[in-house]
Amino acid sequence: MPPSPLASLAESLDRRIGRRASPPSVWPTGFWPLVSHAAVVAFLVLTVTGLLLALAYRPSTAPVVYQGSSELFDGRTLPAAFASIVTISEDMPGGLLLRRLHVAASHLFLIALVAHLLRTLATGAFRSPRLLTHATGIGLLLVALGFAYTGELLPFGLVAGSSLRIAESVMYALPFAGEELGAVLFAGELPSDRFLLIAWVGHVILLPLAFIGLLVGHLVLVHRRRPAAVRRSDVDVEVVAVGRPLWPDAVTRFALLTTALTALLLISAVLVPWSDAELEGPFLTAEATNSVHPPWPLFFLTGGLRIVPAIDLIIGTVRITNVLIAGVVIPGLLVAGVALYPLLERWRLGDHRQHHALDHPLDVPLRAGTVTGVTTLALVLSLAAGVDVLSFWLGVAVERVVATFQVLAIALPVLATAAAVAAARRRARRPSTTSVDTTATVPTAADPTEEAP
Amino acid sequence: MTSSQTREPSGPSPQGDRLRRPWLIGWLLAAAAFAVVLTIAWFGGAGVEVLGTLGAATALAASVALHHLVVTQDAGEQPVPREGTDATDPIERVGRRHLLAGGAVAVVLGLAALVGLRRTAPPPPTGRWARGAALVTIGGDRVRPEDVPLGGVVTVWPEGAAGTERSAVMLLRLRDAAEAPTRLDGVIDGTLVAYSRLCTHAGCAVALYRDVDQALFCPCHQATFDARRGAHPTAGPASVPLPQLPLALADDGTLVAADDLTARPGPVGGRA
Repeated sequence: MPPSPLASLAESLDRRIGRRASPPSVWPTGFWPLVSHAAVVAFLVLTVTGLLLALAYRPSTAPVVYQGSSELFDGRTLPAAFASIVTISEDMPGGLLLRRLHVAASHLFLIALVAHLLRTLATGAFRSPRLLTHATGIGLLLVALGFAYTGELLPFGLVAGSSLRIAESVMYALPFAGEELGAVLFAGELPSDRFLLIAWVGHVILLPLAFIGLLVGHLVLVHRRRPAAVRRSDVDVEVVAVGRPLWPDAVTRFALLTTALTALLLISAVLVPWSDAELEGPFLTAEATNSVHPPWPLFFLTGGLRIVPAIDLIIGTVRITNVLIAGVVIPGLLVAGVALYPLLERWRLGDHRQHHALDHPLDVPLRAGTVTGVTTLALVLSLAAGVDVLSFWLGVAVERVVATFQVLAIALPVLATAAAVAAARRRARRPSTTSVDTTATVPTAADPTEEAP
Repeated sequence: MTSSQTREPSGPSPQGDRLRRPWLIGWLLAAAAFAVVLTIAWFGGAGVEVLGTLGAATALAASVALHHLVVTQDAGEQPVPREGTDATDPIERVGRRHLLAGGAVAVVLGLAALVGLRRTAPPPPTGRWARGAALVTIGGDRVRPEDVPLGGVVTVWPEGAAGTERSAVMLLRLRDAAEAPTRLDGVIDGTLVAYSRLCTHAGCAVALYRDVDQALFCPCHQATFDARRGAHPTAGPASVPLPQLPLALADDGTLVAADDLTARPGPVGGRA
């Protein structure tokens, strides 16, 4: 009898990365790999909670009368999507916990992805032979931003109307066919179901498929290249990869990380009212309010829309506006910057060798400057998303807060970049502290079979 | 990072520290017990605090059990030579010729998509205002000039299209008479004006009116418009005034549109 497909899959995995892999597969150790693993853990939590939430959600703007245990909304006419959110929170067993857990995990997910990206950029982990690995990582981050935008839209709360209109205006701002693109995607007038359905299909089918596909590609590449490693005194990590075997070390550690982070997320869901529907209220035609903000990973977009000055420049048939600059050009440059920086570094430094050892963030002045500059600009733009809140807190007119941010958005990235380059050059002049004693002997491999109980 | 540069590789677990089996089983049983209570509480309709705490207890007990497994079952770090691993980066194999070919394909596909979109896409929606259209509130009631108090704002739609986003218009009663470049023949009593509610910047509702300087304020990106002077932008990211709806009085004293909006409502877009 032929073996079952599941058994043969387990068999082939065992042969490639498991106990019988030869040479043995190695899995990285230390704190930073845990950060990228945390993103995978968060994705698992998001998948489980998302599947359960999807069963009760209704992607429709049609008005329905909500009846249930929410005193605030009982008997009121609400968009079906928002009504289903209230039903999940108030009437479904464990529904509120699922919603809070889903939102808490989404924060962990995005924090972990951004931290992993910054670490990859700062240490030069993107260099050959990991250029494609980095490209798939950028793809994962873009998919995550798509998750954040569509996820904010689905409850069809008060913010949804503004979110939709802003996304539409960014489409409109594209030259040549922007208006047509906006008309096709948004179907003209709100309240319309079309874009809610697009967001729904994207959030629960297309984006998860894209994320899983890219993640598998990312992990296969990480495994084949063997993890890059921090330099160490006993082993030359350029020629020898050091890590733990998949079984039992990596599997038990990942399981421990999963349960520990799930416990943290659950505790946070008890203490923090993550995204409770009652706090926001349903979508209302032609209404908006103060302190409207997108999910934080998109703060840099809305910050740009707030502090880039009013522009109206007409060149031929193309009209250049604030929205084109802040919604398309600046985000495009930031994403292109982190996606294409590895190629820029290869070209500028003429370095086509392979690298397996991770650098100190200040080892390469070009890299230190670029990473610092891009990060600072993204940070200032993100903070600029709060000009209205800052104006309220400080008691200063919002126009003056905006003007301050206009200066900061140019001055801070320039100053930070100069400081990082100067620090990197100073470090280069110091005697090296990271020389590797390549004559040290490689410790012999511990045989995992001897240790098994 | 300096400390890790001098770090010794950790070896396998000490021989004397064999699997602490009773502890592991004990904590696993605790986790299972919490999970059972969690399931009962879940279907019993317990609140988020109880469910969250029970869930956290389950996960923490499982974490302690797994911690015993991690500290006692390590195989330890292993060195593996990098040579012989698949290590050619596909991106490095991309030559100038590939780039040119890929760029050409992208340009052709992009142009095809552009032409296809411009041929097939519906025209971008405009408002539904026309000469003579009656102004109604969201409830469908017609509006008279005296319904708008000093400093008041009323959102109105053309009759038959109440609640449609594009046609939303706000009626304002200014403190001082409107001035050019407002279209003055569309102003009633010198102080009752109407502008599109959609911001020309990013299409949000310009939902706030500041009586101090008679300015309209968009809460999304802080675009500010001078309501007395044709809703021209005075601060913030908008570069184009809000379209004005010229007003007239019908024979029964209710407000009607004297004409369509002076421009298409909503964000200005990327076409000159």
